[in-house]
Amino acid sequence: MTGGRASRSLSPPPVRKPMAEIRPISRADLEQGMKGPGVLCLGSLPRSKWSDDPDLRDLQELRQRLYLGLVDKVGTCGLVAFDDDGVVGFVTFMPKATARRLGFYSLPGDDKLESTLVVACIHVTPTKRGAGIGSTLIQSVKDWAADHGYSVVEAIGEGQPQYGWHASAPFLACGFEVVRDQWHGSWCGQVMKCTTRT
Amino acid sequence: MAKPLVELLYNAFCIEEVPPIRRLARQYGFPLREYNIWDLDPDDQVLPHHIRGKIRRVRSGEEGFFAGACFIDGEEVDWWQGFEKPFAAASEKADG
Repeated sequence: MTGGRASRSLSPPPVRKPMAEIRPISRADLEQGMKGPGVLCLGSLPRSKWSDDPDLRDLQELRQRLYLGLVDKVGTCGLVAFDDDGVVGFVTFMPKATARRLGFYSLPGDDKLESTLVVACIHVTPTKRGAGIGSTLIQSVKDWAADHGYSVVEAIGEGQPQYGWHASAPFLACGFEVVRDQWHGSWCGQVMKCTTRT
Repeated sequence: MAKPLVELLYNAFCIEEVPPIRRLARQYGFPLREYNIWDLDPDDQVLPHHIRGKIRRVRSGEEGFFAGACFIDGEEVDWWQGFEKPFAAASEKADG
């Protein structure tokens, strides 16, 4: 009997490699660029990656300036998930006051403008989906929000696949609740929110 | 008949739809005015009424997600249905 006990204690617990590391997006990320299959629109942020298309170039500069402004103001503009392949997913967010000025969705009402964080976009590269990276990103947003004094996080997602926007389901699994359906022309999104642990 | 006026109100975080609208405006020879919502004050009386109204609605949270808005002769085009057809229709209308 004791032998069995000893063998159990001698066997090291299996080490599970984390599916992805999560960290905030930095100014250097935006200026120098990130590598990996999940970088998507963030990949076009550094000046070196800007398109030669004159119809896009001025807008890329504007977008870069907005992202850098967010980093200067609140410390980051989102989180990236990375593994051995590089960036495999990201989530971008901003304070609700900023989202309002940009016209991004946000729930009506002017209370908690300064203490609400709005998720702008979340993406996990298709080959890495199903491993919980999206849920980890969402949970990390909630943690980041709580650590930085935000008591509420708002997000929008598709209840049913329609336009290719991110789905509501991972948010709901992480404690968000649907507050209302929001029609935008022919597209309907679900506006969700959750409170953080603050 | 005068060429239809295209007005584009955009959110600089969502720029992907802007180049196609610029190209369509050039293709049809429609004059294009652009507005970056970040820079605008909805109380600015210089702005057209429908642009001011749109800014107010999206900033109030009543309209939800705002990637951008395209108006042809003051009438808003459904952002999620593409722009080819509305431009073609406006062109036909202008040509009588």
